Amino acid sequence: MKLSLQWINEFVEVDDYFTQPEVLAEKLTRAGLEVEEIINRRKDYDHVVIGLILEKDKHPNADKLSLCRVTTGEGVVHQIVCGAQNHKSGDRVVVALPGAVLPGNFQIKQSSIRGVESSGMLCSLKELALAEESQGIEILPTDAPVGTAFADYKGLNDIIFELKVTPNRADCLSHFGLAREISCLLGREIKTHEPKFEISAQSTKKEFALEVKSTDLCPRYTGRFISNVAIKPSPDWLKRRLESLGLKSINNVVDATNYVMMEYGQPMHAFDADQIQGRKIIVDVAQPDEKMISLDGSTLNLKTKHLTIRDSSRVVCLAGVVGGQNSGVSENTKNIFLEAAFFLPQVVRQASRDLGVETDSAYRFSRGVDPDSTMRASLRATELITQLAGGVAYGDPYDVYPSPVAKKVVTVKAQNVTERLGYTIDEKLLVDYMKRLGASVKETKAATPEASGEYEVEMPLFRFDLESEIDLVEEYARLAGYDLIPESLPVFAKSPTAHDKNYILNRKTARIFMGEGFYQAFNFAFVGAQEEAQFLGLKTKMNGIGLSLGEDPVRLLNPLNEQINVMRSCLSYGLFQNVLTNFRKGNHFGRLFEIGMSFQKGEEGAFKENLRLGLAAWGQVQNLWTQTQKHPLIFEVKSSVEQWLKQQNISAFSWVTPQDRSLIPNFCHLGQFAELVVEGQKVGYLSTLHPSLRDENKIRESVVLAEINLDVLYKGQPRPNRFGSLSQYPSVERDFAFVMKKSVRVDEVMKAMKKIAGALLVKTEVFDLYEGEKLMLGQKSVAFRLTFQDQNATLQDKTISDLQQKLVEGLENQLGLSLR
Amino acid sequence: MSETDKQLQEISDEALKAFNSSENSKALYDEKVKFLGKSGRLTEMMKLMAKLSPEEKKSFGQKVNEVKIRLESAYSNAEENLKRKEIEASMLAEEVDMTLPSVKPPTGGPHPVFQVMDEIVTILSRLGYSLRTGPLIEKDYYNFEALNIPPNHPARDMQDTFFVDQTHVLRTHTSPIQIHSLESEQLPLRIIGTGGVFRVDSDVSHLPHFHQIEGMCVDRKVSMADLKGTIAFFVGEFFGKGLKTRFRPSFFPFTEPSAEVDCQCPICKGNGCSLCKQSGWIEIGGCGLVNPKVFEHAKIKYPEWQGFAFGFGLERMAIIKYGIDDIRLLPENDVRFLRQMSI
Repeated sequence: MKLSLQWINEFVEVDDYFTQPEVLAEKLTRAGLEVEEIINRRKDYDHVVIGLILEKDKHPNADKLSLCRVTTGEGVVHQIVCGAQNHKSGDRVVVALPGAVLPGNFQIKQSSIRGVESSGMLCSLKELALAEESQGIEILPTDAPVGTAFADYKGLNDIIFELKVTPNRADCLSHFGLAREISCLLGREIKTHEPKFEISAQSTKKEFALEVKSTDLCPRYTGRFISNVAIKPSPDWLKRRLESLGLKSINNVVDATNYVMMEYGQPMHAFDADQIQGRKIIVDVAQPDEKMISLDGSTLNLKTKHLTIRDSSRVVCLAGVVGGQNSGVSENTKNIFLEAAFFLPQVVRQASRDLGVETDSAYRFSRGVDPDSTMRASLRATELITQLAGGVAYGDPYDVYPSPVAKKVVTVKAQNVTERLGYTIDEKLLVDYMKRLGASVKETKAATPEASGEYEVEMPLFRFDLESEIDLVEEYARLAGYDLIPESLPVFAKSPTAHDKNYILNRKTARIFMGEGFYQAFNFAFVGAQEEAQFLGLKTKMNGIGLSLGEDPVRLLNPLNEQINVMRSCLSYGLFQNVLTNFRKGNHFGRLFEIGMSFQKGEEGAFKENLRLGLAAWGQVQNLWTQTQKHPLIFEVKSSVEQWLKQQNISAFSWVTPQDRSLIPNFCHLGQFAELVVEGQKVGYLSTLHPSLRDENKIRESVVLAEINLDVLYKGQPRPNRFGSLSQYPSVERDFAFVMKKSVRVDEVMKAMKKIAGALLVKTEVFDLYEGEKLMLGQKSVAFRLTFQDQNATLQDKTISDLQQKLVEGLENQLGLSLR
Repeated sequence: MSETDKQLQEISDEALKAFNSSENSKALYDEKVKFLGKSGRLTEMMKLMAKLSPEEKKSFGQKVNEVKIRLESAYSNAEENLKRKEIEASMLAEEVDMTLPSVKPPTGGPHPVFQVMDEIVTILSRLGYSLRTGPLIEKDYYNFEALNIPPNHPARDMQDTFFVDQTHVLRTHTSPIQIHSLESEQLPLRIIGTGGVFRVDSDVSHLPHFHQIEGMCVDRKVSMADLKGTIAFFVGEFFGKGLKTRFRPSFFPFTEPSAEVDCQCPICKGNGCSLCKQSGWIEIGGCGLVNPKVFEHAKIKYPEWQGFAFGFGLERMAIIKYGIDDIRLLPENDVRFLRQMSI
C-alpha cells in the first residue's frame, strides 16, 4: 500500500527524513515493514522555481516567440525564450531552469533558439504534469514568492512509500497506524488529533432508527446523522492526497470517508439517508436468494451467511465490502447517515471472496481493524464532512457495542525470550519496548529471586496479533534488530534417519539415464484435458500396459486456463510436447527423461499419485563423418532401459508385442511397440511415435517414447548385489546362422537355446540379421555367437560338439529353425 | 695377424655392415643366413678347423665363437630396431586427424532445479537432516489449517491456491510435509521436505508449478541463533564461503518469530550488481521458529519440544546460482538449455 510521508508527519515528527527517505525506509524494512519503493515526487520538480518576468520583448528573429528576462531571486536574472502568448512583464511564472527533468523525462538545458541564448523554460500546467490540457503558461497569483521551489509552493514535495504489509500487521494499514509504528521504532512521541465540529442539539437517535441483530458478526456499530450537506467536488489538497495514494476522488463526502480510512485504517460508509426506507438501519444476515446491486452497478447474489446493512425492506450495503447503488451518496444527496463499524474479519473476507468483490474496505476488515478506532474515525469524518460540505452534525450518535472486545494479557518471561533468541536480552529494554508498543506492563511478584523477570503485558487492541509469549519474543527481536541474533550450530544427539527411499532410487535412475545421454526434463503436472485424452486415445489401452488411467482425470476447480485444466494422467504427452518444442527451435536431436507423478482419482474422494519415468528420444547421433550404421532408434532407447534394469539387478524382463495390434495405444507405431514385462508384471511401454503424429507436426526424424511405472518397478529395491565367482577356465565361441519364419522372435530362440544348452551357455549374441532375396518370402536369417564356458573345468571338444548337435536339433524341433 | 684372423675380421665387419643396413626384417634375415646360416660364411670358416693343430684349433675355435656371438647379438639388435621402426611406420599409416568431431553420443545431464535440489540435500544431510516427501494433491488441513492458516484467514491470500475439490488443494508449499513428519515420527527430528508446489500465478517471474525445499529441526532447546547458524552454514556451502547471512523480520503463520533470509550477493560478493539491484543482498528464503500453534495441531507439547524451519525456492536458487535470466526456460526443456546447464 502507498503511504504519504507528509501525512505521517502530521502524527509523528519525520521532517528530518524528507531529505533521506531511504534511511527511514531501511529502518522500517529492518523492522518487518518492507518498503518496496520510494516515490520521491520532489525529484520531478528539482530546479523548478517561481520566477518574476522583468521584461518581455519580441524575439529578434521570430515573430511568434518572445524573449523574457526573468528573475528567480535577488540579482539572479535569466534570459528565456518563450513560445506562449499569455504572459506579460510583472507576471509570476513557473520557471524550469537548466538541469530540471520534467515529468516524461523532458530535460531542460541551456540552449540557443533561433540564434538567441535561452536558459530555461516557462512552464504550462501540462508540461508540469499537473493538468491534462492547458492554454499557455501558468500565471501564478501575485503573492507567489519569487525564488521559492515550485514543489514547496504547491505542496508537491511529498515522498510516497510503497509498503508491503504482512497479513499480521493490519494495524499499519493507515497513516496513523504507521506513524504509531514509527514512533515506537524511533522512540518519538505520537501526536493525536482532536476533531472539532459543532454538534447540533438535534438527536441522531430520534431522527433515525438502528437495530444491530447480528451482534456476533458486528460487535460494534456507530452511526451519526448529518443533514443539509452540499455535495460537490473535493478541494485540491484532498484530491491530491487521495490521488497520490492511487485513490480516485469522487465527491467531498465520499472522499472524506476514504480520507479517514487512509488516516485511521477504519473503513466507513455514508448512506444517502433519504434513500433509506423506513428511516431505519438494520444490521443482519442476508435473506435467502437475496440480490444487491453494488455501487459499480454489478449484481451480487447474496448468501444467508453474508452480513448486510438493510433498511426496512431491502439490502443497502454488503457489510464492510461494498455499498448498494440504491443508497449511495450522489450529487442530489442532502442528508447522510455515517457508518463506522467493526465487522468480524472472517465474515467480511468470506463475502468478499464468495462474491469476488475486492475493495479497500474489505481488505482492511478482512485483516482486522481496531475496534477502538470506530468512534474516533466517526468523529474525524464528521469534522471533515462539516468542513467540506457544510451541513448539521446531529448529536447523540449511535455506538452499539454490547460486549466490548477485551484486551489480551500475555505473560512473558525474560529468561524465555533469551532462550528463544539465543542471546542474553536486556530486561529493561524488554519492558521499554512493550510500553512503546502501547502495552501496559506489570511485573509479576516472584516467590523466589530465580522466578523473577516475569511480566504481565496487557496489549492494546490494535495489536490483536500479539496473543502469546512467542509473539512478544518476536517483537523484542524485531525492535532490538535481528542483526543481534548470533550464529550457532545446534548439536543433534540422535542418529539421522534414512532419506525417503524413492528419492534415492530416483537419483540412481537419473544418474543412469544421464550417462546414457538423456537430459532431465521438468514438465508442469497439469495439462489440457482434451489434448491429453486425444493423444492417449482409448483409456483401456493404457490400462492394459500397466499405466492405468482413471475414469476421469483429476480436474482443477480454478485452472489458470483451459490448456492446463487437469492433472496429468501420464508423462508421455508432456514429453511429446517437448519434442515438438525442440523441433520448432531447430533441435533435431535430443534425449529427455522425466521422473514425476501422474494423477488419478482414488477411492472415496481420495487421489492417487503414481511415480513414473518417461523417456523421449529423437534424431540419430550426429557423427556423420563416421557413416554410423543406421539402426532403428528404438533399439538405442531399449538398450538404455536395459542398462538401467541391469543396474537395479533386474534380469527377468521381456519386451512383449501384443498379438492383437488393436491393443496398442493410439500414439504408438504398430510395428515398433513393446510392453515391458518385468518379472511377470506389465510396467510400461517403449514405442516409436505413430508416423502420422510425426508427419502432422512436420518432424523429419524418428521419435521414440517410453513410460514406466516406477511404483511397481521400485518394489523390493534396492536389491542386494552378490558376488558370483569368476571362471578360471577358457571359454569357447561358436557361430550359427539359422533360417526361421519372420514371426519367430529372437528372444524366443535365445530362451530356447539357454534351455537346451543349460549352464554351459554363458552368453548369446546376435551379430547378423538378414531378410532378402536369398531367402524364401516370410523368412529371415539370424546369426548368433554363443559362448560356452565351464565353471570348474576346461571344456572338451566332444562336449561342445555334442552341445552343438543338441542345439541344432532342439531348435529345429521346437521352433522350426534350420541351419543356413 | 694370420690369414684366417684376417678373414674372420673381414666376415665380421661385412656382416655388421650388412645387418645394420638392412631395410626390413626379410632382408636382415637373408643377411643372417648369408653369414650365420648352415652354409653361411662363418659356418664355412669352421670347416677350416679340421686342418689345424690342436693348439691352433682351440684358439681359432674361440675366435670364431666370439665372432658368432657378436654377430648374433648384432643381429638381434638390428632385428629389434627394424621391428620398432616397422611398428612405428604402421602407426603412422593409421594416423587420424585428431580435430575430426568426436563420435560418442554426448552424455546427458540434470535439470538445474533438480541439480540444486540434490546439492542442498547433500549439504543438509551432513547436518543430520533426512529427506521426506508428501502428496502433491494435499488435504486443506495439511496445507493450511495444521500450519496455523485457518479458513478465511488473510494469510490465505499470500498463496493463491489451485483447488481440486472442497477439501483438496494442490499444495502451495512443501510445509505440509512438516506436519506429516510431526504426526508420524519420533522426536527429536531433522527433516528436509522437498518437491513441486503450485500457485495460481504465471508471469515473467512466476511459474504455476515450481519447487521448494525446506528443513525442520525439532529438539528440546532450539533458538533463533541455532537457526541463523544453520542457514549461515548452508549459505557458505551452497553459494560460497565468506558470504554473510542476515535476517529481516517477516510473517509466516507457521513460524514465530519469522524472518526473511538475505545472503550477500554471490555474483558481486556484496558490492552491488544488477542481480541484487545494487543492494549487495539477495533474498533467498524464509524461516523462523516453529509456531507453538503448529505443535498444538500435531499434538506435540511446547515448550518441552521446540523447533525451527526454513525454506527456499529451488527455481530461485537455480536462477541465482547459474545466472539464468528467464524463469520460463526451466519448464521448456529445450535441449540446448539443458546441455548448457550440465556441468
